[in-house]
Amino acid sequence: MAHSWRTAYFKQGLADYQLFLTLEKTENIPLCHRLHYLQMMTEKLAKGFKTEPTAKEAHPFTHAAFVTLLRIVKDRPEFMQACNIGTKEQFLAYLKGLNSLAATIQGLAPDLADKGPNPEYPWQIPQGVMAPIDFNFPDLNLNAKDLRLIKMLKFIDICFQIAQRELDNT
Amino acid sequence: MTVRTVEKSIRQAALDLARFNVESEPEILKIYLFPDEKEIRFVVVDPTTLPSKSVSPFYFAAAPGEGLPYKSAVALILPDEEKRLPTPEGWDWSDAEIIWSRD
Repeated sequence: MAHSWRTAYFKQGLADYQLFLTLEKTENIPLCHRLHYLQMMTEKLAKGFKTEPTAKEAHPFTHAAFVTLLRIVKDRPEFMQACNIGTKEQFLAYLKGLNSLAATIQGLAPDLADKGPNPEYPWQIPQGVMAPIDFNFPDLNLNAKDLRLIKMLKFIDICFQIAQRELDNT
Repeated sequence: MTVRTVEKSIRQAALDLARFNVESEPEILKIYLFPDEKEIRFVVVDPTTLPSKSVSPFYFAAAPGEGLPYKSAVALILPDEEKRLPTPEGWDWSDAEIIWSRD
């Protein structure tokens, strides 16, 4: 089944998101695998919004699109309304707290991890080599269910709802 | 009697979106509108954004229920990138209009 690039990014991002939700509900899934899907789904979400609907070629992206997406959507009324937030001040305040976390999630991409912690490939440490399966990712411990992560996951869900709405209307 | 709904013009929709963009955002300095009949095309000058190699928009579908009757494309650039960065096909700096400015 052939799509536009934009549609394909949204569809694959949504599929990644559904698997992420399944992993979150499943016991004993290593944190690295869950974070891997978190990074991949946000990257595809951002790439979807970055792709012009009639583009005939893949956009020459970097992995660094998710942080910029958050900066852009803070000025989008449809995202604010989808969050059920009444004023722009409240919306900005909500998103402001997510910027650094967005950068941390984006930074999980191996190409951006600069030979450091990432959920996919081992990396060099002074004592030898670290495997993601053994690393506790202290800034992104999904097990801790901290408020920032919950807010971020809720917002990512909103973004995917808007992507799905666009797919449904295509 | 037929009731005719007059759709907002694309320019008026752009003005409304620009006002929403700058509300509570003291860092935004300027918004350029690149003309197009079907799409609101913004380049927003924001000194707090990241450097870019080109004007690289994010694209959004129309959302009539949220007061956005037209699809839109929005890019962020730094002040020293104005009128210097390459633009997407069909976007020309010489046609761009400053639709909002903090000056």
